[in-house]
Amino acid sequence: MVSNSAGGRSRLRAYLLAEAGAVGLGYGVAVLRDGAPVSGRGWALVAAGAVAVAVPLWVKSRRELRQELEARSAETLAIETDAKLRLVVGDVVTPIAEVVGRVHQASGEERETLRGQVGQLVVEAAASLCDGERARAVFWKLERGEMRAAAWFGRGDAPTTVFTDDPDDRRGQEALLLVRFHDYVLVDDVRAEELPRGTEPRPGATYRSFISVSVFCGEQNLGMLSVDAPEPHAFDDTDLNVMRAMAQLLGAGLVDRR
Amino acid sequence: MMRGQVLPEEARAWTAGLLLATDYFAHARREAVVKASVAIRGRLHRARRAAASSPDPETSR
Repeated sequence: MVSNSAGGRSRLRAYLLAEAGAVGLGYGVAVLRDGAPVSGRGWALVAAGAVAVAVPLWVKSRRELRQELEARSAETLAIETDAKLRLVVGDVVTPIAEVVGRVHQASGEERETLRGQVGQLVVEAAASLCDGERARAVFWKLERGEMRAAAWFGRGDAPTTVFTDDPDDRRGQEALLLVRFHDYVLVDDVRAEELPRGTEPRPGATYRSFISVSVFCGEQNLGMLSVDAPEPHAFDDTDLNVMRAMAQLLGAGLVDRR
Repeated sequence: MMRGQVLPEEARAWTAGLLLATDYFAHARREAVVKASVAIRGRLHRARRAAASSPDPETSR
């Protein structure tokens, strides 16, 4: 993803090799200046001297290579973070905010079309921005006390779950409470963690980790935005904040005039 | 000086449904990495230059 690190490392290796060569040559010249050793003791002294010269050189080169590697890793991480920031702010929030503005300028059928468009853009952005491989994002629209998938993007088929307030639909009740209390939940691994009530996956679910965020604007509850992935620990704090921003953007687009 | 469109053509195409999200994000991600790479290396280069030209190493940190 990020180039140039291999080039930098090979340059450092070349410098270190040149340094070792120069030191080795200097030591050889110094030893041979008075002629080659003639006794075993003389050779032992030469060998001990060589080790004494080589050890600090080896330690120094290892330290420099490790420092170089750490610097490159830090640089790569900084570039990835900066790229994500550019992607979120410049390539996602900016164009979606423009569509949200148009929702509130439009009326009637055009307004509904634009609202559907905002929902679709938000799930596409959420699935693409969150780090999970083969992530899937869904907007569950709240209507008449139930939530159904209104827009989705990513792996797998269309989501079929309906979250209801039925007494035997525990997951539905908890999802509706999450929306009502304007909460979010991030689960790292549905198989490993002691899960909050009602966040257990349905039987046969293909995801291991997920984030769900309430979609609302003011007092209007509009639904739930979720992203899931088949790998555990697919999402982190940054993904959660991206989801929060996406959910609020969606809420701004879907809210009705009073 | 920098001058450009607030909403580039690709972003307009994506929000209008004329460009697939996968294509849009693949392109946007590539562009973002290239620009981030230039920006971060530029900052690091400037920081190293500032550190090298500082007379007192303690104050250059």
